[in-house]
Amino acid sequence: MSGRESTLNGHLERELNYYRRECNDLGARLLRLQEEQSQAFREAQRSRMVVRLLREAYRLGDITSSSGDVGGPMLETVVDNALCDRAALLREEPVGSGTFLISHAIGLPESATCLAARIENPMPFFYTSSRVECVPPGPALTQLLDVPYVLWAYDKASGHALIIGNHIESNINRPFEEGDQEFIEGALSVYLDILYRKQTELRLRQAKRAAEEADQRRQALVQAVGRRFEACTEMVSSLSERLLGEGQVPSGLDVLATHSRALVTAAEQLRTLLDEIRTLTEPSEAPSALEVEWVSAEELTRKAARAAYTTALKRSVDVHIQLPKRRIEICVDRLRMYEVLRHLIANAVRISPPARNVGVTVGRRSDGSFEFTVSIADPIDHEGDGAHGGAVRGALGTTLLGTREEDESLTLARRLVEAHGGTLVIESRLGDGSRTRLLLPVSVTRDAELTGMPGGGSAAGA
Amino acid sequence: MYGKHFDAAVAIGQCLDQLEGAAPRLLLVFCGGKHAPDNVLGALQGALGDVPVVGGSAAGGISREGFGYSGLEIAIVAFLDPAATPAVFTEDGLDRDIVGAGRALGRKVAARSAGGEFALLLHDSVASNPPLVLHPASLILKGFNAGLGGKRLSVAGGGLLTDINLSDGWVFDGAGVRKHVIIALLFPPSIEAEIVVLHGCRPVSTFMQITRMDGAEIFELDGQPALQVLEQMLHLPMGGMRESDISLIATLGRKHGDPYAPYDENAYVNRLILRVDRAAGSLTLFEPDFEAGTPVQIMARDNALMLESVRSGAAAMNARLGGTKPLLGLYIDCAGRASVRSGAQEEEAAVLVRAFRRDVPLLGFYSGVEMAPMDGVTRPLDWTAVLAVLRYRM
Repeated sequence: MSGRESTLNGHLERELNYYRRECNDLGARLLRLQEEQSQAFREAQRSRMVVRLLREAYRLGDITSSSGDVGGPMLETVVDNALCDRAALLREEPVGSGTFLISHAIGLPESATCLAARIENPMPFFYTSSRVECVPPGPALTQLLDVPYVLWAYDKASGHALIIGNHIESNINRPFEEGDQEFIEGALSVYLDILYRKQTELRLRQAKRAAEEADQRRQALVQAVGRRFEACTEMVSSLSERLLGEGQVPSGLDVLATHSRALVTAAEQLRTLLDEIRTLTEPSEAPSALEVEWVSAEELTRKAARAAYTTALKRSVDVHIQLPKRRIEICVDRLRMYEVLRHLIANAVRISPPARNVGVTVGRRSDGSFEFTVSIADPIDHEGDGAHGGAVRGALGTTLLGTREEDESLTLARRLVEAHGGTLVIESRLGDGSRTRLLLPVSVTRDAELTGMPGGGSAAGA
Repeated sequence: MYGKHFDAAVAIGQCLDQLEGAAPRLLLVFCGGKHAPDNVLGALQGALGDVPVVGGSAAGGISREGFGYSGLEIAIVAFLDPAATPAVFTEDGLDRDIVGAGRALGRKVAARSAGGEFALLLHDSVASNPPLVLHPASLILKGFNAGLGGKRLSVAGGGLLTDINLSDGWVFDGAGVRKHVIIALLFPPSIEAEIVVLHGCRPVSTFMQITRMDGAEIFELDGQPALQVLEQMLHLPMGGMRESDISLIATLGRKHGDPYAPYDENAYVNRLILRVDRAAGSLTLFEPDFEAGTPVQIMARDNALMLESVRSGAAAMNARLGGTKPLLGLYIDCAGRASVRSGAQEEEAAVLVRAFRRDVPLLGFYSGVEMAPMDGVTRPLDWTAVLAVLRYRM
């Protein structure tokens, strides 16, 4: 190669190397710019995640029909937005105990959703990350979802919690951090809002139904009473006319006495009817707004049975309580439902034959609804099937053979039960005893944790 | 048919509502990784009886009705017409002898094939995790092509994942759910496929030569430690970054044909970097099909290019289809193209749904690897989307 060619080749080599360097340099800058742009967009997407989640989650309130339908769709919305590997909604049973049951889960094997998790001192917000030391309750939470990285929110008042988790902190996942508190707490808050809204809607529907039924019964009662009122006044009127129409002194004092007795009886019936109307139409008799909360059915039952202890002891009646293995909780007005149960048990003790048993059973029916039953054998007939008591029973449609005062209490008890969305059923057959059943719908019934012991007990020994 | 719900049975129900009572002969099902596969199979069999189910897990599903990658999506193709229903072949043992399994499958297909048909290959991308071990599609194809014994088929396919994070993958093989399995759907000779590959990477470096390599692990580029070369060229501290970020940043691309021809996305086969070894100074690729002496360039994902490639690719496919009435558009979409991974401002699946012919049924899934013909040979591809449109031969 000549010197000139060699010089040219050297020049070309330098030029080529120059363009190579510049190309690589430009390529590196381009790549960096591209990555910065992508990173910025990913961060923007994450920052919009909370807004998107809240918007989509609140829409669930319009779509889902009951509180039981909310959990799954809510969790799906969370997973959709967070793109996490696993997620679960939990509830503390009972509230404040630190024992959590999974109510809904995504990404978890079914066997894992049946186990209870013990979380000591659950915090309102918590997360685990490779960047921070894993302190309690981190190990319990990661074990719950069986992933190393979790994000947790907990509402102490309601006992509900939300947890999401990831297997890794890379690829499309990034490490959890303090800034994620808004997301997880926001999601839990929306869930609770919708839950309470659905529960309130249910109670409103139940109350509306109860009010409509009460109104219908009131109208039927007023009509029935009105007819009997009319019959009584007719009787008074015809007797009076008979006395005046004959235009002379009755032929005998015995005839006068008979007519007078009939007048007195009719007047008594009129007074009874007026009392009834007053009792059933006074606004103060209608139950005011219920203050419902989840209470232990076992606790209420035992307390109500204890209230009847003295009477039971006096009459040598044994109140035997049969409770289920798994504790049940009912969403009721604690004070009013206690009064209902107390009345039912006390009434049964009063009308039970001496030295006999009153059976009290608490449980859940096959459809999940709550059932409280008081059974007695061959109850005592306090007043017999007289005109006075018979008139009242006929109007109320009951067959319970008790006093007028007891029947009025029963009516109030029935109204209270119906205000809770429930039903009071009274069954009585001569020779076969009497049974009063209080039924509450499945929406206000739930299982609590296992008692570990068969339920049972006697008021006499309580 | 497409469905999405946290309850697999409900998602299946959403799909089957679209069936309108028809009785399928075969179901091709792509199922989000958060659904238990047994629940999905149970729901399908409960509704449709003993219909064979093939397919497997997918990082997400794509359809005109919706798309997503939360893991709750289910996408189903129901084959009703016997003239359009493919024959199914399976081979297990990917964990024992992946090339041998590919070869055995190739032989089964060849025995049935007259030549020229379209075949769809599906396998579980993830052998195990952690640590992440893949079933390299290049080895499967190496065996499969050998097993075909010279028979020429049009082949496309994809790797099945449970999620974009490459946690796992599994296959519906017609009898149940299994791992380490490859299935081939061989379509009848009356069916042909038009295939277009959509890309999204462009070169950002000059050519370098692989000077030392073992399997999928590159030790040297231009005689220097490969990791060091990459760090220097990109001015980035690669060893200090998380492994996953590496595949977000750079891939290595091999250009086919004239290396100095103007840029053509279709000339490149790109390979994601799976991991780096700082001590060895090496890079491990997703596939072991590069070799020493291969000239490569550093490739960068270009989101604008990716979206434009979808638009132009869909338009090209529409033009190719002309006035014909295709049966199905199958979209095998690399999970890395989802905007949550790529950072693109628009989902490229949405672009495809808008751009592709509206009258053609479209169904897709997010995959771990895509397989498509390139220069007459079916190859595994990374960061691509493969649109395969099936129609009766004219």
